[in-house]
Parts: sequence; structure tokens; C-alpha cells
Amino acid sequence: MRRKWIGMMMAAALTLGLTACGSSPANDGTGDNPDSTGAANTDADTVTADGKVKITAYLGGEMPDENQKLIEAFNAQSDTTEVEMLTLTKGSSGYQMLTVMYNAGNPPTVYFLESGDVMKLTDKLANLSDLDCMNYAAAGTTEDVTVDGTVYGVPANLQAYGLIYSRQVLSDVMGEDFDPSSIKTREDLEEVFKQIEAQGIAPVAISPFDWNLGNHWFCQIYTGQAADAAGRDAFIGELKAGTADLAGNTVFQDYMDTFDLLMKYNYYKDNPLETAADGNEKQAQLLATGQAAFWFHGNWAAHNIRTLDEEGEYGFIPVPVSESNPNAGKICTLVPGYFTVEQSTTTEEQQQAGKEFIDWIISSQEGQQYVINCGNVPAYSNNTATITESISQSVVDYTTTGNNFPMYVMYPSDHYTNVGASMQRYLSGEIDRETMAAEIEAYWATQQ
Amino acid sequence: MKQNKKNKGAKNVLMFLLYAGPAVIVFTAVILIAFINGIQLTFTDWNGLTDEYQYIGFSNYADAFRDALFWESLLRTFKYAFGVVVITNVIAFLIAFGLTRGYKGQGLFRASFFTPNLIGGVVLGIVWKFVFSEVFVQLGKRGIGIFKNNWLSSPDTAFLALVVVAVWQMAGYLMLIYMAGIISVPKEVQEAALLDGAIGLKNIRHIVVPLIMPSVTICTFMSIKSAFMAYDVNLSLTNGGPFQSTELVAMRVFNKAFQAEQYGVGQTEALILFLIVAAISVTQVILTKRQEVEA
Repeated sequence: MRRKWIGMMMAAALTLGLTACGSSPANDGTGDNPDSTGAANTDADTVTADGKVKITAYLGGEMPDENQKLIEAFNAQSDTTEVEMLTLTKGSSGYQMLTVMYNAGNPPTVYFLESGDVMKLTDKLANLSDLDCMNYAAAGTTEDVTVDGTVYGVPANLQAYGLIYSRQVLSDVMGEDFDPSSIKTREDLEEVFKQIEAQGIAPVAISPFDWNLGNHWFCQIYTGQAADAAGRDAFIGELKAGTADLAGNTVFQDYMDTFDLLMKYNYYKDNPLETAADGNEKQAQLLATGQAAFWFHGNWAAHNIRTLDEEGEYGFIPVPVSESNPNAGKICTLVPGYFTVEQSTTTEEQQQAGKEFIDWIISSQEGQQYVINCGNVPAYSNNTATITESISQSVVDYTTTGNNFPMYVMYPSDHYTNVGASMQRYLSGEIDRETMAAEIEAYWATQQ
Repeated sequence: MKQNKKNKGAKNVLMFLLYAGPAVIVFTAVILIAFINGIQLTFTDWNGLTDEYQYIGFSNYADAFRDALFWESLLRTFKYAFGVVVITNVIAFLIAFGLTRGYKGQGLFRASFFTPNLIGGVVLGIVWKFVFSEVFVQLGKRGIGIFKNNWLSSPDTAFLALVVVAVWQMAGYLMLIYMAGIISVPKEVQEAALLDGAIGLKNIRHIVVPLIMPSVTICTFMSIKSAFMAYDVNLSLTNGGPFQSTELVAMRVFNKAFQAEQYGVGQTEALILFLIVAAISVTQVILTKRQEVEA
């Protein structure tokens, strides 16, 4: 009899344990009730044993080692805050991870988001307008995350893309004193391509990834619709309404003419999607080992190139388009992500600690060096770290002279898979330009 | 007397709760509640993150039925499942048959065939991606025609690659189940059959296969289930590419819900998938059960 009672007690204990586990996330007061969040600050989760405020941070997925170093440096110098780093499984975006964490009731205090995602979460994010570092933000870097004067994200850094050239190959083929910036038009580019090809070197490499083609190449077309944001938004509005005529659009045709030129001289022209499932290391290798002269890509690839060639000179030329195109002669820049502070589930102290952490990233020596180490370009005028790498330096040369245009970033989050798929079909020769335009129009027409 | 009966009833309930209670509670907490909650969400316009959502009736179902990519990926998954189930089971059975003949060193072979199953799906996908895009491409450069292009670079070969990897992973596991079945075929039945002239293929067809039908039931069921739920290898090997041509249905559903941020539609498609897979599995179990015989 007694044994049976023990058994039942155990079963009861198990059951209680389960229900206790089941109910604890609800006690954290997720999103539903922001007013009650301040009350939770006695929770062991928010304070460390030695009285520091504990926060979690996700700083983006590209350079986890650099993120780790940065967070360790911050923790070493802070008496009041301890930051715990979150990482991400490969292949999922920050936003997908965030969805899961919000639904589990424990989103990170500080997180890195793309601008489109910031705008979807404004009801959960803290106002960062008053941060000291905002005074130094480069022009045009915060507009995409500002609503009615409230800034919800701190730009992490700047990136740029265009045609990366290898100085070594150009010198070998065109002569030591050839100036890449003399390539202004498609005809100029084709002339150079022909001479390079005659030497048995591939003129250009196209990375066939959907994000590269769908977002980076195609978003140039959205920006090119007008010189100002209102004009671009109007064009996107027409696409959503299904009234835009992409095939008859001059900027679309202009960019696709250039794309055709790249396709004709592509290293992978026999099988353009050869590396579709890989990373960009293979194209970086082509450039670094002199097997290709140009590569349509961005400065983030500097990291890949430098692992193979530390010394060589590389730089950008703008993607050549017609002179009537507002983007002509400029390279495309973007803010790859913004640091944000979560406020719907965190305590007041945690939010304060999060802001302090972000300010430190932007203003401290370690934080400024972090941007450079990740192969990016600072988005702040108070950044004093020296750039020694020629690809990043090339970006700075364009941005400081105003020869850059912003990438259009207000696209839906599945834009790159859908438009990228159409571009891949076009690249592989499966569909023609009209079909591609029709597919992309059909995709946009399903968006609200 | 009556009192006694009541006591016994209560005792039975208590005993049931004692043994099955924890399992029932866990099942309810992690499967049943989530499932019902999921069905509820198919009637809403929730995007996966907001605090509020509206009930919008059946419009998610209408959207799901109009979503051409979903139906394409479902059709593709059927093809994939057919290929994987047939090839895996045939290969697994043949290996199992070969490795129960008592050859020298069969223990080593059993272990090697089973090993792929111990590697997790994502790792497996990454390893095979390397094999397809680095190793096979090198073979192609040395003149082996079928590897001239990277298999992951065109829709048909990328699809084949998915099947190859799934078979490679699954066959060892099913082999184990088939082996257990073959070993337990009674010796005297085999001897009698051999005396009656059932040798070779005849022996396999008329003696071994009918007697291991329970193993066939389990193996087919498991391979169907894993083929329809394939996600990890799909993600790490092709990630649906090139141009979404290898997106299996589980990945499509996930992308619809989390990438396109149409959680309601994604959930609806998941429910449709559940109904289809449930129907197939039940039919399959009934059909193969009917084939089972007692020795």
C-alpha cells in the first residue's frame, strides 16, 4: 500500500513540475501587457550574482568571432552591465529567430535587424533618438527606421556594392597606368572585357545566389526609378497595384542590358548556376587568384578575398548604365542592419543597459575597430579607426564625394527568394526578359 | 457489494492515471494544445509576431488553394517520397538479405551501413554539399560526364541529389529492421522451402518477404513519414535552390509562415499537409497489415 502511495506522489510531483514549467513564460508578461514589465526586475534572470544588469544581445550573424570579442571587451570594462551573446543557426534570418523568441517570451534585449524588419516591430522597440551616437550618424542612414521623428534603430555600419575589380589583372592586361574609373558606359566596359578575354582570363564573375541577384541587383532598379524617395515609393505602389509596366520600364531595360553584358562574359557562362548552392568564397577565389577581373559583389567580400590575398589592390567601379539613369556613375550603399532595443518584455534597467551598450559599440575604440574588422565601413563621423583595406577605402572614396545612391530596402522579406528565383531562371537562360518581368510583376501584385 | 465495485472503478482510474497520466499530460501539453491552437490560427491573419490578430474566416484556405508554389512543392514531395521510399526499401532489404547470409566480416559491413544514420540531417547536408560541389565536380573535370556540372546547379540533378542523400541516410536504419525480420524467419520453414525447391529469387519472393511483412509495414511507414517531413537535409543541401525548384513541402510551409510572414496561410498549408500525410499513412498501414501472415 505504501509503495503505491509513493508512486502516486511521484506522479503528482511530475505533473506539478510540468504545469509549473508550462506556466512560467506567461509570468514574464510577454508583449500583451507592457505596463507590467517594470515589476519583474527582481527576477534572477535580469540581474547577475554580483549585481550587474544582465542583458542578451544578438549582433548579426556574419562574424560571430568578432561579435564575441566585442562583447567580451564590453563586459570587461562595464561595472554595471553584463551582456550575453546570442548566436544564430546558419540559414535562418534574424527575424525568423526573433519570431520564435518572442513567442517563447524571451527576446534578446539588444538585437540587430534589417530596416524593413525594424519597421514591422516599432510597437516593441525603444526610442533611440536621444542616444549620443545619433549625433554622428551619416546623412541618410536613419531615415528608413524613423517614424514621426522617433528613431528605432542605430545604424550598425555601411556597406556598398558594385563591380569589384582586381588591380593586378587590369594592370597585366590594360597596362600599369589604366584607370578603372575611366569605364563609364557599357561600351567602355565591353571594350575592357574583350581585351581581358583575349588574354584567356574571365572578364567577370556573377555570383548566382538569389539574395545577390534578387535583392542586390534588382533593388538598383527600384532606386533608379527616381532621384528621391517619394518617386521610388510611388513606383513600388504601382507594382503592388499591378499597374506598373516593368518590361516597358527604361531603368529596368537599362540594368538588364548591363546584366546581359555581364552574362555574356561570365566566368560561369557554360553553367551559370554552377555555384548556386555555395557561398561566395569561390568567386572571391577567382578574383584573388587572377582568374577573373571583375565581380559584381559588395565590400563584405573583402573578408573572403583577404584570406587569400592580403596585399593586392581591389576597388569598386559603379555598374555602368545609361547617363539618363539617376544611378549612373554611383555605387550602391546600404545600412545592412540596425541595433535596436527591445522594450515590451525587458525591464527599465535592461533597456538602459542596452542603450549604454549600443552607445559604447559606436563610440568606443573597440567598437569602432569592430566595424573595420568586419570588413565594413563606419556609418559615423566620430569613427577614428583607420581603414587600411583597399576595398573599404574605395567605398569611402565614393561616399565622401557623394557618388553613392541608397539601395531600396523597403521590399517584402520574401522578395529575394521570389525575384531571386526569376533572376536565376533568366541567368540560366530558361526564360527571357519579358517572362521575367511578368513573373516579377505577378509577385509584387500579391503584396499588400 | 456495490460499494466494492465503485471502489474498484475508482482504483482502475487511479491506476490508469498513475501509469498513463504523465504521458497523457505531456502529449496534451506539447502536441494536442499546439495542434488545436494551430487550427485556430488558420482562421486568423496573424503574422507571427503581433499581439493582436483578427479572425478572417476561411480566406487563408482560399489563399492556400491558390498558392501555386505550395501545390508544386507538394507534387514534388510526392515524387520525392515515391523515389525515396522505393529505393530505400529495396536497397535496405537487399543489404539486409546479403548481411544475414553469414559471410565473413558482415558485422563490419552492418556497422558501416548503419553509420550514416547517426549523423544529424543538417551536418549530413553540409557534408554532401561539399561532396557534390567540390569532390564530384573534380571528377567531372577528369572526364566523368555525369559530374560535368555541379549537381546542385540545375533543378533535375539537385532533386536527384536530395534523393541520393536521403537514401544514403535512411537505408542503413531500415536495413537493421529488415535484418531483425529476416533473422527471425524460422529455420524449419526455410529448410522445408529449400527442400521443396524454393531457391534464390523464388525463396525471397515466396518465403522471406511474406514472413517479414511486419518489417515491411514498419519500414514503409517510417520512410514515407520521413520523406514527407524532410526539411533538414533540404535546408542544408540545396536550401530550395536553384530558383525554388527543390523546395519540398515542409520548407515551403515554413517559408510561407516565417519568411513571407503569412503565418495563417502557412499554418493552413501545414494542416492540409497533415491531412494528406495522415491519409496516406493510414492507408499504407492498413494495406500492408493485410499482407502480414503468421509462420
